[in-house]
Amino acid sequence: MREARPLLATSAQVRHVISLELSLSIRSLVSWVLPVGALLAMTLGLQKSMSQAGSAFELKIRMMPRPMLAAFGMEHINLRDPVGYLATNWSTITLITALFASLLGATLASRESASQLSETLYTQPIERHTVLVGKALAGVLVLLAFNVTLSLVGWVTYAFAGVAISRPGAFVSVFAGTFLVHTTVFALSILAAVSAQHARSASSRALGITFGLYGLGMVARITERADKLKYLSPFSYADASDIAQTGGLQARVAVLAVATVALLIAAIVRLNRNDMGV
Amino acid sequence: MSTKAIAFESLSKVYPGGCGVHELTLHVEPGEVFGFIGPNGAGKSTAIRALLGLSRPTGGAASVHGIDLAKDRDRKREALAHVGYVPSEPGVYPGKTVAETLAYLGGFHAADTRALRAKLCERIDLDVTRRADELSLGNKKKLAIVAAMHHAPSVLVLDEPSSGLDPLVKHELFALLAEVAREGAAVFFSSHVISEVESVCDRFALLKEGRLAQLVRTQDLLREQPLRVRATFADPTDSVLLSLTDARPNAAGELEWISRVELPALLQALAQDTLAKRITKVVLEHPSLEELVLRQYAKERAQ
Repeated sequence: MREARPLLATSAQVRHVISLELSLSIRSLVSWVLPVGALLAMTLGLQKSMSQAGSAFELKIRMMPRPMLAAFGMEHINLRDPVGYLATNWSTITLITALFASLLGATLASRESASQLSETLYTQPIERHTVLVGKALAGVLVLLAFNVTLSLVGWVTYAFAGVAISRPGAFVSVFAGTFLVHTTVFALSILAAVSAQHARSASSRALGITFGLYGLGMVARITERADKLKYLSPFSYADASDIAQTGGLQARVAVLAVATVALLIAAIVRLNRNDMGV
Repeated sequence: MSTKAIAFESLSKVYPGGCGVHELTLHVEPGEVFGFIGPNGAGKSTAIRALLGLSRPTGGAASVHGIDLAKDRDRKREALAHVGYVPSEPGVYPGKTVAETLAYLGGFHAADTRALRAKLCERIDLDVTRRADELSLGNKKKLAIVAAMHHAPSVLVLDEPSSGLDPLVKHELFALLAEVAREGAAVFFSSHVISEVESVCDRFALLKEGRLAQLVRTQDLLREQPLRVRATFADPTDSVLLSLTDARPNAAGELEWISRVELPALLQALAQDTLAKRITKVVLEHPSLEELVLRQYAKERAQ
């Protein structure tokens, strides 16, 4: 006969997982923040000169075909407004940063299977869903740090360039919206990773899905007939050019939060059904 | 909790190709070192994964201290708090040291694992300051062994634990297994190396093509076997000797045969004048477990 042993509280186990995942993700975060931050700083640093070139430059851009302007969110371009200028350039940066979110999700979810640690981890007195919740929270914290850092880079760059942000709420909303897009892409990548039969295919699968969703958003903007596709792309729910125009996040961003939670629940269900180490 | 530390009850785990484990039934008691042997692909690891709740059985059940880890989700953690597991292919977290890896794994237990961990690392000579992803296979195995034992489990499951270990560490590991078994833990030891099972296990099960082929007490099985006689004769071509037994010369130039009589009768026969004068050296021994298993494989293959 064996006596029951005391068990560690689930919340303590979640904190334990978060702390490991944060320590393992920090290098990846830094290696993405540095180039993306530099790209953002370089881009925003040019706002003043672009703004001075003013209407002539804007006119040139407006002469581009409408689908192209629509595809890159430049239909309502206003280079003199710092937030408008940020939004004009944000479309490409959103895709790049979403790739980070996607890789982060796939890496976190497949870390143990890629390192032959699944059997070791899941024979500890911890539920599979506790592990996944810990990983998801760690990922959300990393993405939050990523977006906060980028927004600070943008803020400081404008301040350094002597550009006054007349609509700080809209400026912050661009990054907040992107953060929500990131969390959705991240959750989707977790689901893709736990559904992948081989850990090594998790990242490529997640990246493929992210590109695909971005492409859907673009197609929806280019062709009116495919307009409904925008509902399938998380990028459409927090579009920077829309935020620049309206001055803040629309209520529809709630869809991203709901989708993130639903995707994580689906990932937990899938993980609980998986056979490990086979 | 059940008195049986480990129980397989008609456990089946069948994969689409048909391989896996079929109708496996066996029990392991607390304080017992149990061997689980079989050729590659016999289903040993499949059975272990089903036992530990890593995969779902397609039939039957497996339990630890009476808790079915695949079905009794509410009590799974309770059972796993008692379990230590050494997988056949241990992994590590890239970029983490041995100490950090062990602290992370130990952190899932409510009990403080540090003191026992330090003692185990010292006994099996594991350098905790090294980066875990730079370790050799043997050192990764040592890490897995410490991780499986630092919370003093009452059920210790080891899947091929000795591969990659040097003889000294292997010896220390077997001593550790014997100690934890003496303290009341059940040790479930899966191995290809039958001599290891013979030296450490009280009982063993032989698995073949996913089915239980043999389940016996190791010493009983060995004792039941006829003695093997290896004798050196002054003149190995002596026709009397050759006609006396079904002996055949072995690689060492000795004559070797399996005795068909009990030990007293055999000794009496060897002491007879006709034989005693001709023998310069004689060795009587039971065949090893490895020989018996190999003999059984050969017999089945011939059928």
